Amino acid sequence: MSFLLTRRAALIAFLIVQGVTTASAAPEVVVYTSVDDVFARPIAEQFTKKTGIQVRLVPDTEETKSTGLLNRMIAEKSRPQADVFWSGDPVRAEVLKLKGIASIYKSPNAAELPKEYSDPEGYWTGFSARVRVILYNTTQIAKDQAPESIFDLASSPGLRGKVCIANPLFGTTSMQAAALFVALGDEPARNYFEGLSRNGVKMVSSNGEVRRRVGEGDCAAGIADSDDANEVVKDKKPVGIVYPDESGIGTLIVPNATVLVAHGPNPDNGKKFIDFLLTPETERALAESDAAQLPLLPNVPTPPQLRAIGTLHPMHVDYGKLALKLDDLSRGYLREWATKNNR
Amino acid sequence: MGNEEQQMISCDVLEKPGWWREISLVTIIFLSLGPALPLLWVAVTEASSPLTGGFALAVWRSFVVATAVTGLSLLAGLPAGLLSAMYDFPGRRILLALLAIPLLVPSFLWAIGLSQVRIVLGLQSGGPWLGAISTVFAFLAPALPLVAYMTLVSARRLSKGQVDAVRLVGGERLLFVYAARAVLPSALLAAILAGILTLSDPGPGQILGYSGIAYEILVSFSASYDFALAAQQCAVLTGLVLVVAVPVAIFIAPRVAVEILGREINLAPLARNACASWITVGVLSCIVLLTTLLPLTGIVRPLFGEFPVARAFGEISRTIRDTLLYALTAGVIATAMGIWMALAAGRERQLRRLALVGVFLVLSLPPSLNALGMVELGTIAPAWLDPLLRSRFTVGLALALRFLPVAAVLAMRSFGSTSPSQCLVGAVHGVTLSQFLHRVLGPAMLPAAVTACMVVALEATAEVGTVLLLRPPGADSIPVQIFTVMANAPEALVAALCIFYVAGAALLLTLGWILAARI
Repeated sequence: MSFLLTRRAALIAFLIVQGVTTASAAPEVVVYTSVDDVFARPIAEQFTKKTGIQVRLVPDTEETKSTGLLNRMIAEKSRPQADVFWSGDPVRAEVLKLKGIASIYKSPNAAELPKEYSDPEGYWTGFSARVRVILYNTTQIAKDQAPESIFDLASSPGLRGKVCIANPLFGTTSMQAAALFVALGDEPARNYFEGLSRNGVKMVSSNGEVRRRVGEGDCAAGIADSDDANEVVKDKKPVGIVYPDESGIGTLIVPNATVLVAHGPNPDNGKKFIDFLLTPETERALAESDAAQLPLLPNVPTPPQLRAIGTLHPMHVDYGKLALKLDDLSRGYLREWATKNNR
Repeated sequence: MGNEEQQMISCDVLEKPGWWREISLVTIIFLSLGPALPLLWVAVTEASSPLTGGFALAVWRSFVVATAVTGLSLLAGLPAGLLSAMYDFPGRRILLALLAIPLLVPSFLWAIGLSQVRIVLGLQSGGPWLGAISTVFAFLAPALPLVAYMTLVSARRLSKGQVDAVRLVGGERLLFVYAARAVLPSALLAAILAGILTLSDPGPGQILGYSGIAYEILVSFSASYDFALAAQQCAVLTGLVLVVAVPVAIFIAPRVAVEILGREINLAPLARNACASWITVGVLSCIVLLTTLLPLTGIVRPLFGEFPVARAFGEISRTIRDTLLYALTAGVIATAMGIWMALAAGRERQLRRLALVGVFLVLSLPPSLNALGMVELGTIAPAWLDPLLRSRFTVGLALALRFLPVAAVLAMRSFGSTSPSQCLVGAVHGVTLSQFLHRVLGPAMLPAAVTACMVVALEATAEVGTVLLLRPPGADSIPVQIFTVMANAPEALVAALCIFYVAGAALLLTLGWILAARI
């Protein structure tokens, strides 16, 4: 097909091939993250500004979850493309540890961070956190009638058919489910989920959807993350926030977790990025952003609209155990529950 | 010396039988399915069964959606396409262009729009029925234009003589009935294809609350990290698709193979009939209103409060280069392979059937199957193969394989419309293959090649699943960026990105139309 092989066509073909295959020669770090793109990207840009190292960010998506970012890392295990995994919760970080994809890195910047939110062996380090909160629509529920416990959502007749939760197979909702099974034991945790079903819970696609539904009044109450709470309050929706189970099992704290990927292509730059994530500067930026994350470092101010970590009654969880439990639940009970409630 | 020998190959090789034809077709089909084969092997060798209760329910739901989409798109798309092919009416070009927009937009965008419409109507939640109806509606957006266009193209092949004869005997009503019968195989094929494509797309079902088999695969893959189970479920899905696709391909492909073979005909002019014209305008307007304007209204709803132009523009500028690169790479590769396939199939009926069955199967498979296979290949392969298996080129290649059927059908149609006698006369006068390709066939097929490249590029841009799995770090496309931020970014930003995307797709469509008309 000589007509295609003219010089002009060859030049165009060359340029396309150059464009699609050439890698950048500048120093770089490849970061896979399950943190929302809108929050992670400004931090990555700050890092580039400070160090001159380009960040190639691969964000995950919450609502449709089809990226399979973690699976991509598992698939790439023998020759990873990522240097760092910045996880929105410690469970996925623990999965990487269990799969042999994480490597030990104890950042010098982690010294001030509370030890209970990091892996004791140093495979992952926790920093800025979110908490699982109850959102309620103030036009439907008076402040003094607001549910104080996540267990109220499963048992209160007044909330029948009016509660939303995200699909417990994904994201922080899955972590909370695993935490309940670990903290309460299998039988009580199952009873809780069966109670939710009996009380007509609506399973929606994401925490963002819970936020929207409660804000619009389609649901009277729901469970979401503190960043969702911040968003819905900022949008001036009639929504109140409850830090649940202050007098019971406590509020679940969900720290970010950062992992140095074993045999990543740029390990030194990966370490620099992790060091940067663990600085007060990053914690402050995440606190001041729309993510409104709660700092774990002692001297970084908490967003004014939320409560500081130190004032909460935290749910005591061994984060290391959650990954295995979640693996078990995702294949078994939770999957069945999600199928049953997928209406 | 070798070059000289190649120069001496006569152009009549294109019109003669030859072993290279079968080998070429089998190679192309194998290349298109190849990356998925390791995963399918895992599925076959795995002992556990994917057929849990939840999976059975998901299969049922998918069946309901696919059947409804097939039936409804045929019911509305066939008359719409037929009327458009037979009658002239005011605003013909604009209405037909608007009809095409949903084909170029990722399905999840329409689902977002419809979910916003549900909020406005106070229908955020409801039982499975509401979820099912909304999901079917979201899938109908691309299905209806697909069937309508296929019908239109098919109906335009009716000759003036045929049309005039039927019109003389029985008037417009009989003409409509006979024309509908003539185009039914093509329309049915398009409708079934649209139904099959719903099976592998989890987006609308998940957003609108009626998840099916694609969602189950997603759960196995994303939540359970269970490759084997996901592969098994993909295999079951593939098996179910084949149960439908193979008989359809066998029974309908011959008809379509004949239809896409060019014929010297005197085309029937568009009739000017006031009543029929207004009916056509009404039908097309209703379809455009329901499949394009209604979801668009939902998408723009959050923009009434604020329109974050600068932020959306920033996101678009960051991702546009890679979006265009993926699209261009996919368009060029798919077109080249499509032309190769068309030349290999030639005018032999059996080979054209084989080609059509092959491309139909390729299009029916879940796109994630090939993409995951490529991820695996990229991991196993040595680092020097990264430019092929782990780069932007990989994304373009995977998209090209996905949309090869579109390019192949257009190329086959174009080749079919050329005259075999040109080639045979050329051979008598010693015209070589390269001369013939350069001077005769190339220019003759150029409009089809440009159209194929354009259509594949636009379709590839709208594809999200493949890009999500294969994009190199930091190389997002615009739809992937929308997909990534849509859960937690402000609604106005998501809406602004969606609007920019739809406007860009419409602009490219218009440019393509103008370009194709000028060549």
